[in-house]
Amino acid sequence: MSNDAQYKIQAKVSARRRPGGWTDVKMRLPHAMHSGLRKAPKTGETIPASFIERVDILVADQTVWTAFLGPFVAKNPFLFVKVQEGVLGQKVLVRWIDDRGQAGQVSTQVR
Amino acid sequence: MLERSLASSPESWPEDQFNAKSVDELAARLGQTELPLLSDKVVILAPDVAEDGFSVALGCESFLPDTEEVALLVPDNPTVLAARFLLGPYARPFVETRVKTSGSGEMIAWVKAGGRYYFASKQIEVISGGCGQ
Repeated sequence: MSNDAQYKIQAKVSARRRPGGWTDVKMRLPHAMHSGLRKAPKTGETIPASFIERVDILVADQTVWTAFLGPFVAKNPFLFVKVQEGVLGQKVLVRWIDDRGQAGQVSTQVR
Repeated sequence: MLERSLASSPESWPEDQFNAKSVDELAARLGQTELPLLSDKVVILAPDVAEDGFSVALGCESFLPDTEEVALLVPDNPTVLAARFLLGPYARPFVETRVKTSGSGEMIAWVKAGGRYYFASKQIEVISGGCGQ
């Protein structure tokens, strides 16, 4: 676990309105995303799989995207999705949960 | 409270799909009855050459009407399904993420639109594999 701590980043989300009539929603979520294949360099023991399973992206309290992730999504998952229209100031909420029930959320506004 | 609201959502994490070890196995577990159609309205976003197998950009944009779902596959990985995205109302069918891969190989994007699956694929070269991942 101490190994995970050094990779800890802050969850980030941005929502930018584009002139073409959509909003770009980009996020980076803090998670080691262990695939279950890697061995710890010091002990040689296999690190058990642990990864974010599900991400929900809500705009103005409505679920627009649901993403299911597997163990082969890269560490600290980056997701980029698009949303039709999007009104300036609308709330964008991203929430996630991993295979151990650890949940988190981060929010922003459409800019 | 957050955990409870997620757990009560309509679809939970599809374990059987993420455990699929081959593209055919995944196709069956997604309920595909016909082979996905190659479509120029599905665009896979992946680099020609990726430096680092621990983080390879992989995405998909669909220009098909009634796109319901996008799945990103790395057939060379021990389990082929990297991520699945379900579109709700107001979603514009564009997704991008980063995946791990053990080396050069094919990347596949499946798009479900109007109840049928379509695909696009791309062969990419990975200079340093994410071995052990």
